[in-house]
Amino acid sequence: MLQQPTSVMKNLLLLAFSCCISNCIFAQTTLVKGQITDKSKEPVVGANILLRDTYDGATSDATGKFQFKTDETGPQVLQITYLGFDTVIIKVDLKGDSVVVNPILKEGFNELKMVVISAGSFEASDEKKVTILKPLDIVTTASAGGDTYGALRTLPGTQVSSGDQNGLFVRGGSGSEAPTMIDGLLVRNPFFASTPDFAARGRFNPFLFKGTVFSTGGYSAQYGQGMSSVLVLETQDLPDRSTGSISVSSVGLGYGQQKLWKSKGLAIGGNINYTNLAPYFLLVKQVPNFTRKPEFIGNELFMRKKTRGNGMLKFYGYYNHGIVGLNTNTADGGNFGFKVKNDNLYTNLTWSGLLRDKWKINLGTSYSKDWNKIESSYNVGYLIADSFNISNSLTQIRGVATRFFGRMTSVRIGGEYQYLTDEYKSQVYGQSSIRDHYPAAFVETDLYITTQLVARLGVRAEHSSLLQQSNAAPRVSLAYKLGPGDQISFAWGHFYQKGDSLLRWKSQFQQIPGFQRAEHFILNYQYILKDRIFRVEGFYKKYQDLITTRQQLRNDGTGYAKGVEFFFRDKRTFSGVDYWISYSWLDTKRRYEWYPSEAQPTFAANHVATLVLKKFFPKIKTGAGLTYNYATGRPYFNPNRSETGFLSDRTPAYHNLSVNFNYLATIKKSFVVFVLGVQNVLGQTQVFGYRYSADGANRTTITPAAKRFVFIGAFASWGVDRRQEVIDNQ
Amino acid sequence: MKNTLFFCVLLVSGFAAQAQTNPKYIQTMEKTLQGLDSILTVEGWQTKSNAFERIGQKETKEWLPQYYVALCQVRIFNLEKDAAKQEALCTKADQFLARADSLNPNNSEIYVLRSMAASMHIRLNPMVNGQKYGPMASMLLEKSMQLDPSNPRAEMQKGMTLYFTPAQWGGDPVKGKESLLKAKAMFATFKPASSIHPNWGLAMNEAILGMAK
Repeated sequence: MLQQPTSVMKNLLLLAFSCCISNCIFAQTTLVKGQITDKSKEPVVGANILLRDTYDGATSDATGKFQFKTDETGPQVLQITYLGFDTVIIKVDLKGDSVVVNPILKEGFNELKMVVISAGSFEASDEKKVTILKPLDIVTTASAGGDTYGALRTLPGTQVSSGDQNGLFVRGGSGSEAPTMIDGLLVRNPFFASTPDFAARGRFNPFLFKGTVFSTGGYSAQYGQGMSSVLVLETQDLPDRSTGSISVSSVGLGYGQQKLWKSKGLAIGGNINYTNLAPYFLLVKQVPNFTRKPEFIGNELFMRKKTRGNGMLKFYGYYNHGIVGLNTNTADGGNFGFKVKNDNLYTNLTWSGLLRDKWKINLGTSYSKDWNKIESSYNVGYLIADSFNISNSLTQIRGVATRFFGRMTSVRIGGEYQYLTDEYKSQVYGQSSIRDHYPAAFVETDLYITTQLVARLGVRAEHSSLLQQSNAAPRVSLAYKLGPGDQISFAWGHFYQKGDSLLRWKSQFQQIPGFQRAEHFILNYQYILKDRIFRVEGFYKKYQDLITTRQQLRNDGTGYAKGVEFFFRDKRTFSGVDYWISYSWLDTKRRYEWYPSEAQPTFAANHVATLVLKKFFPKIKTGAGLTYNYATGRPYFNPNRSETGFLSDRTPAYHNLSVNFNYLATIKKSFVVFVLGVQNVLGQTQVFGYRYSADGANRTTITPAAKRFVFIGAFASWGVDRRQEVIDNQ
Repeated sequence: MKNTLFFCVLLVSGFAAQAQTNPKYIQTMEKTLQGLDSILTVEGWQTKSNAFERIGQKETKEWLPQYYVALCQVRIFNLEKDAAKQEALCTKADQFLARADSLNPNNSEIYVLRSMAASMHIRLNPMVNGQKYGPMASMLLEKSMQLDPSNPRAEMQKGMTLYFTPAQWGGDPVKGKESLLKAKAMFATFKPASSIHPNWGLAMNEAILGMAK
């Protein structure tokens, strides 16, 4: 029964009526449409246009156009996303009828498209996309023999025929001009102890490292004390899973274990290795008479832990004990004996992380010590026997703070302090004890002027208490991206270096020589697209203040090195084949140490070429590799020549063909790799130099210990997780 | 008074009707799922993916939209030739599967897709990714079968992996075909939990069986 509406009823009716009206307003439909393009006005196909917090939206079609209807009204947020591009947010006011938006999408940060500083730098990293080498390349290169330094010798700029001396000989520089860094800290003894005229391999297993940056000059202000080059190795972070591993080879045995606690972000591991060449030498005759066949035992320990601030704390410890001794005939008809017992300890503790989200901090400290007990004898009718104790140690701390501005531009400030000791005790020659306090500081910026143009500007200052000298070195690099695949890069800088072992004899001379210096000019053009890389680089190095040892230790040596290098790598043209070719032309002369005049040094060959070939055969799960090294002759000292003919003789050209095969198998639950490698397959005679008798009438040839080197080994690794752990790890 | 009450109820139910989205969610999902199994082009999958993404950004507590976005990335990956784009698809699939998994852990369907995403990583770069993602892919698939032995998509993924993997890496086309036939039978009897729960894959299964003859 309807009654007369009361005032309450009237208010309710009014309320209901106004709601209905507003409902009618809310029920309006708006058409949202438009066209999406990128910076170059090309349509973006398949982009997602949505109205935030609703289901409404559309996908852009082949012309970039889109449209959709929505019942939402009032101020709304329109969001446009597309993989690889920055998200665009547009505020719109929906009042019915239609709304038109034509957003322009900007490409998101894409590592592949940025310009990179490339002059004088080769990088191998799994993390970066634009690299010349991958860490796996180092292990699978035929002539490398699983040694990082062996693999680096297949790149342009390094000498290949330096089998008689330790180190990397880069662009006319001696082996001591290319130091090795691990996680930014200097490694004083990166090579095993060796006998004279026989180079030893690197101590550290290449699998330890996730990244390698090999510089052939013009490197960052972060590093110093390398007039030609610096090798920067970065250790691995947390492993994926716990594993165990075993290696059995023609030179020794190894066993390793690592355990990962993923929830704690902690991994601990270690391995032990035993190397003994005696069985191998029984089968393959060696030229020198080994009185003590090389034998090494070593172990490594590591700990890695994730910390707050996206940080990582890493510890690495290495200890190795080795012994090798041999006996050779000298040109004087006598006999030279040499035996060395070496102990080496290397430890490294680093932390990297973010501070207050803006600063990236890298801290590191390291302690290393190397002891050598050497016995040498020279018997040519009369006997000169000597025993040496040579030891050195290095204690260092280092800190770097990096601040990013935007996505790429950064400023780095850092400092380091090294305390170096060197003890030398010889029964015949006396003794020397050196201490050096070496503080250094640097400031550097990577300035991305545009995404096409980057400038790296830095300065490094160093001081040596031993030399009682300081220096300041400017470093400048520029890179300009010409197109999607190519760029040019330029680098210039000053690079100072102490005289190292020469300084042992400072007490015998009146003056302590100061820093030696090299000035680099490098110009580089690089083209990287899909799976092809082409690179050409020209350089000019000017040496001054090189230490000479005639009568006094003086800084009056000078020199130069110039050249052009080519590198071409192709993984695409031939199916399954990966190959690279490198060629270096070098023209260098210097007057240093005992040289009476400027001459091409004994470690430099004018032309060096390398071909590396790799193919994987998936059907038989075998990889095969081949490396061919060629170098023109090296200068050698001939005492029969007058001073005008100093170092004018050349050894014969150097040829080295190496092959290797890897076979991958899965036995039960473990991955096994069988490796067979032969260096100098063709048995070509390789001459590094000659040693003359005192009267210059006779000479002996410096060659490798044996014509060929054969290596056979098997490496097995297996996971130790229980299945659940692996799943929980995801 | 009765009329007043009646008006109030009308008003309240009117507003309540506006606030109710669950049926709309189901409706929109059903509509978007239409024709899922018969899409053959990158553009088709991209459009579906975008629609699911829109639903997912509103319904942040629902795992199904995130799951379907990941499924679309997997399907686009199979059609895409550009390696750089494939890499981005892997990353996006992982991202959306992580969201789905956090919203609905221990879900057999999500584990099947996670196994497929791991296989994508392997195909992207077998030498570098094989060692890490190989064991991961098989562990994830095993778990999906444990969680729901009646899931035909798990059996289908097992069959596809066995069929396409080379013999030296543990593949077996004969066993693979067996699994695909078993999956075909399971598809016939499988009952999804709702009209919008995963029920795709029969067409894919048939297509591969067609190749296997």
